[in-house]
Amino acid sequence: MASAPSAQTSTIDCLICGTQNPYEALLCGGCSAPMALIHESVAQQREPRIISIVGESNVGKTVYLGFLLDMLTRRAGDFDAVPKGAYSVNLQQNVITHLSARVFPPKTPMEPDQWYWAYYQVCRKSGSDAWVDLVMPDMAGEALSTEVEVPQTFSVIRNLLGKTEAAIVLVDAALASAGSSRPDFFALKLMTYLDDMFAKRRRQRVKHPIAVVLCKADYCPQCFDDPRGFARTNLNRLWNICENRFENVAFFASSVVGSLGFATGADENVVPVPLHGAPRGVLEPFQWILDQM
Amino acid sequence: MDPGSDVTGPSSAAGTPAKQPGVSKAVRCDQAIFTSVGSAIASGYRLVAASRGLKTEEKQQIIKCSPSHDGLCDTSPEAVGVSCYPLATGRLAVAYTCCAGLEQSARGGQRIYTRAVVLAEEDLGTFAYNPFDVVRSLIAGGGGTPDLKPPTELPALELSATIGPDYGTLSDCVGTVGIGWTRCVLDHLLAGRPTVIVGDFGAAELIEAVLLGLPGPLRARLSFAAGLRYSLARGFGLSALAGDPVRLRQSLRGHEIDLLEPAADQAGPAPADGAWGRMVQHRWEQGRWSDLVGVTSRRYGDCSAATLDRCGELCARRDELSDLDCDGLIGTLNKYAGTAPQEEPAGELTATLVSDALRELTDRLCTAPIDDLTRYWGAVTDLWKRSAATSVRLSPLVAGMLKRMTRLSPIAAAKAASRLLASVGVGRNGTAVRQALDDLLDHLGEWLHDQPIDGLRMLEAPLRHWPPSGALGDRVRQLEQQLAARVADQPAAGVEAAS
Repeated sequence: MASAPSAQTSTIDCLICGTQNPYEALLCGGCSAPMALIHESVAQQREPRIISIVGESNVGKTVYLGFLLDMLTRRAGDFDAVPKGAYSVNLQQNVITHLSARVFPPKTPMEPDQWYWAYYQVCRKSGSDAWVDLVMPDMAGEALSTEVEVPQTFSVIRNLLGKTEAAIVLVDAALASAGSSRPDFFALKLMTYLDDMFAKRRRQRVKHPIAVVLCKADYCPQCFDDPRGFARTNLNRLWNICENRFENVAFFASSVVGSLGFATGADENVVPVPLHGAPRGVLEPFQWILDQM
Repeated sequence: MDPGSDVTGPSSAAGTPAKQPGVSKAVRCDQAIFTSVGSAIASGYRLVAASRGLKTEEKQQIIKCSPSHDGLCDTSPEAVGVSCYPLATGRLAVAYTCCAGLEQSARGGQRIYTRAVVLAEEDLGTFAYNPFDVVRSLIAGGGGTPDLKPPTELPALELSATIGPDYGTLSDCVGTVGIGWTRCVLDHLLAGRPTVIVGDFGAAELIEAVLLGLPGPLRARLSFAAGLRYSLARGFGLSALAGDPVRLRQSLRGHEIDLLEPAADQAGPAPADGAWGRMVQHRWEQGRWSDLVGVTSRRYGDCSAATLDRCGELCARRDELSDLDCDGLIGTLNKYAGTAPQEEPAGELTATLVSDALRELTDRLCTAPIDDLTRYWGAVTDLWKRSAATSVRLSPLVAGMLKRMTRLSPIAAAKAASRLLASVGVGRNGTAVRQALDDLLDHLGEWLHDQPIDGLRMLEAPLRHWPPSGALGDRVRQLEQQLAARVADQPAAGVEAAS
């Protein structure tokens, strides 16, 4: 848990990277994480549990996370969720506002201080009444990709994943179903990175829950019927490493956009237009993760 | 054009700056392109191409420091930015950022395109320690035009310093921001305090103006960004940008980074005490950019505050020369002409100060009336006699004064020469002084033919102090004989008018 601020020095340690920051700082000087996370964690007097949403650039991490958070705050499924601080709401507001205007939200910049972070308290309405503190950052895919290729480039990602209890790995099912090997290779690299981060011993398989979410499944509806079969067939390298190194993996199919149109932009480029939102398979991976944690 | 240098400044810049226009050598640099491109292998922002010479850690740093989506303050397609940062390998990255059409993933906004040039720190000296000269050279070579399908391996670049700053634009920018605020940025940098300056001005121009006020090697160690959206993660020493100060204030809260928000109606904070800062500000105010660059763009071995203030003091003394009287100029020469050799550039600045003071004094005394000449003769010759070095430096002045006195009053000249020779002897005389003495003797030889006897007698005493031996001695003896003959020939008559 983040240490309480010292009365003498008025500093506070970052929850993510451990950097000592002045109490009044809004961003961590080491990793640019919002210090509100740490203040919240200190106030709650319990260690938040970090779930990381990871995936390649343009796979849909921002949209997925935005919809997930929005569904949680709207009490979808069996959940009740309370965002802690306005900064936690910014991501979902950004996603919902853009999609309402029939445009995808802008790319997430690589600069960590431009990322959205969400701190939520979540509990199930039925059964256990325990609230769980969850921290979910919306990382830039490019930053993640760079860190995977050359570890230690983005220490914030390494520190974050080092503290992650569970991960939701997004894979572009539409590209994979179209025959591209890129999603499979990226996922393979990512899983080796996670293996390196999570494995306590080389011979042991990783116990952290990993939900592999096949995104943009509206392009390949067969995903919804059999996500495991889809992964085994179209993402075979990913499938194999999951079998070999990860003990607790589940596959899900997901889509957010109900239908997509295409328009021609001012400079003649083709712009995809999300005509309406129809989230499907967004909550299930999260639900499964919480069950496993 | 450099608007002020010809008008207000001393005759030339202080010595030679690091860059020699027209003779600068080409510098071999590595390069990299960071932008958003989709391919079969990857998508989004990454290093899409790089030279073979770039090391992995250099690539890592370029990736971390390059702006990605929405990374420029200006969201228009014409937006540009410049950044520069030292790399962990000891080299330096200078990056030019522009827009390259719309973002390829069709998620709105411009595609941000950065070309980074990596060069050795000492090679920046070829560009007068001005990273903006590197950028101008890059753009002139076509490197500022986005290339979205570059080969994965880029060739090394050959850049040479051919285009310098537009000093008029820099002056305009300093005027817009305000001299007080510009000085404030300089003071922050000299004190090593990370600074962000936000406002409606040319960010690149402001940074270049401030950079030119820093000693060259300090510029190479400074990381800065102009026109890039602020990012705490980059940890740059100086950022100049347009943007929302409220959001910036939030980002910077609690961190030891100063946010400056120049307001047009405010003069800016009180400047820090220091001769270097005053010297730079003085040149900014007078638009003496060439002169400023001449002082700052040198290979400073030591950039400590004490050294910089010493250099600033020397420049200030040089600025004051034209306002000094002869006593002041002699005082300056007394203080600086015989100083021990110092580490560069203080040694060179001292030499320039002495040479300018000497030129100023020579101009004054070589056109002065005889009273001034006789008044300052003692002080000048004392200085001339002080050491071998001062003897060499002051010989032309001493000779010039003697020649002037010879023309105005041969007897006063003979007395002056006699005082000089009595104290130092003929052996210490430089060629110019020897020549002046010869001229004096020639002139006296002709002069005494048509002088009345009283005037001739006034010459007897000075000649007695002249050296008895050597070529000069022989000539003096000859003159004495001529004088004796003339005195014997003529009865006492009216007294010669002094001159």
